[in-house]
Amino acid sequence: MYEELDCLTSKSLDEIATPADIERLEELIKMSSSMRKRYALLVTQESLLHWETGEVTDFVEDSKSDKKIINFPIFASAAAAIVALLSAWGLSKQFLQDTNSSQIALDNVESNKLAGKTVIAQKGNASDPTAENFPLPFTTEVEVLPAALNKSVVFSAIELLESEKRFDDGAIISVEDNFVVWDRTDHLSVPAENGILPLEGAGMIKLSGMVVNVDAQTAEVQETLQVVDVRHLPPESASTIDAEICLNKGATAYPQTTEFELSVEVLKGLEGEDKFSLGSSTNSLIADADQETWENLTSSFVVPEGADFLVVSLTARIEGPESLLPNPSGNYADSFRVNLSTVVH
Amino acid sequence: MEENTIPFEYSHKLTAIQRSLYAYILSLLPNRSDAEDILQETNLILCKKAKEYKADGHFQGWAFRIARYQIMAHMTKSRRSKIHFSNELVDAMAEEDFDSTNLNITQKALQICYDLLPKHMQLIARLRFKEEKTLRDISSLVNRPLGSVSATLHRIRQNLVNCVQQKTPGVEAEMDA
Repeated sequence: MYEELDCLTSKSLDEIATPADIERLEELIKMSSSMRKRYALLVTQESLLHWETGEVTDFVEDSKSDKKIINFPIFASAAAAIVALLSAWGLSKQFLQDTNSSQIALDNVESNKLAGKTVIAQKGNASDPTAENFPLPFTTEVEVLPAALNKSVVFSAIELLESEKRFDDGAIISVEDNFVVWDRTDHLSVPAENGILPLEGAGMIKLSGMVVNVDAQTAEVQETLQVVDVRHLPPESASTIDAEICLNKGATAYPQTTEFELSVEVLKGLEGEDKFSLGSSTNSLIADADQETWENLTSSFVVPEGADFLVVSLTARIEGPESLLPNPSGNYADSFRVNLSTVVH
Repeated sequence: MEENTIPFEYSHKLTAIQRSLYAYILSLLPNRSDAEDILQETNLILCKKAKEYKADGHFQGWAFRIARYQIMAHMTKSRRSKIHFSNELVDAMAEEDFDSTNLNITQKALQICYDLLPKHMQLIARLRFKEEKTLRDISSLVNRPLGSVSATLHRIRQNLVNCVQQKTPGVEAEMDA
């Protein structure tokens, strides 16, 4: 019912709406009071998300990191208003000359002490990103094994590689000169099916069924394709990993937009201990609806110094109401290649 | 000195409506930078007019009316340079839809719903809402096409608004208890 309104409101809030979009949005808003209420809800939510420099995101991430945090929406709001009040007072010379603090000025100091926040109402303040508090998972900031990875599969592969076992029921382990590869692609291989022919040879990778999150309206599957043990690469060497894969998705009776993501994650950690991410590279594409064509996706990454393991994984994802529809035709990959080039200085 | 003092009661009311006032301005002027400017201007006028306000009057209605004049003046000034809604929409938008009384409940429900977002959505939400990155910046940071980022943000907002509507009665009951 509100799909078009929601979409146009989102475009308008992201400042990418065209004049025609704005005109249509206005038509929809004027159409009924329920449309107006929905629009007001979306915009109010937007202002809450931005206001107080993203208090909602602060709350979630800080509570996860088990830090003590106290939520002071009132104080932060008070700070905003009082900055405005002070600005108004600043117009008056008498205020500037007056050395007696008023009750409001005192409140302002107290509020800011408690809230410890900057104020969005002051233009420019809110745009100052507090990157130190919010390390991005794709930078070289250190973090525990990222949630994005299929942890159990990665842990099990790393455990095997660390214990120097050379056999796994669910993967092939091959030993090269300076590194060992745990490769799962053969075990995910299927012959031609659902009208899709392998691009090379007689088999292709088939991704498992997607897991649907009904609340979030997303369907997603992630397969860990390879884990490379690079602990024994020569010191004083510089390495680059290049991964390449071709992708295809089965036909559906209705339009369904599937996004594929190829990622390389670099992990570090002592044997038997938690592994930390040293960085990652991710590239993605939206699959076309043509079963006869395969689309190519690559990902390249300079391996940071101190890397112990490289994890190559492939994700397929559908977002929106279409994610709730059945997807019996599957998602496929072929011509998967990983190249690890090392230069010894 | 006395002439420039703003009664505490007045400042308290002004403080309480800041978020809904910003939302109201943003709904008619969907550009954050412009909306913040208008909010500042409106606050200044409200401070100057403090003495004109009657204690038994409807403060939010009064503040919103002042904001509305500011918005219309801004729209007239920048009509040629920016995309805007029409003046009719400014008239049609009801102030009651931005009531500030239940915002704390909405905020609490929003926190719960944000936590329910899948990881990849939380990442994009953080970049957009917390770090205030542009879509183009987000697109290059997460290596996803611009259209895909825009679509994800649309889904994030839609998921959150639907979820907040579902969770609000529970949060309200919890806060009342």
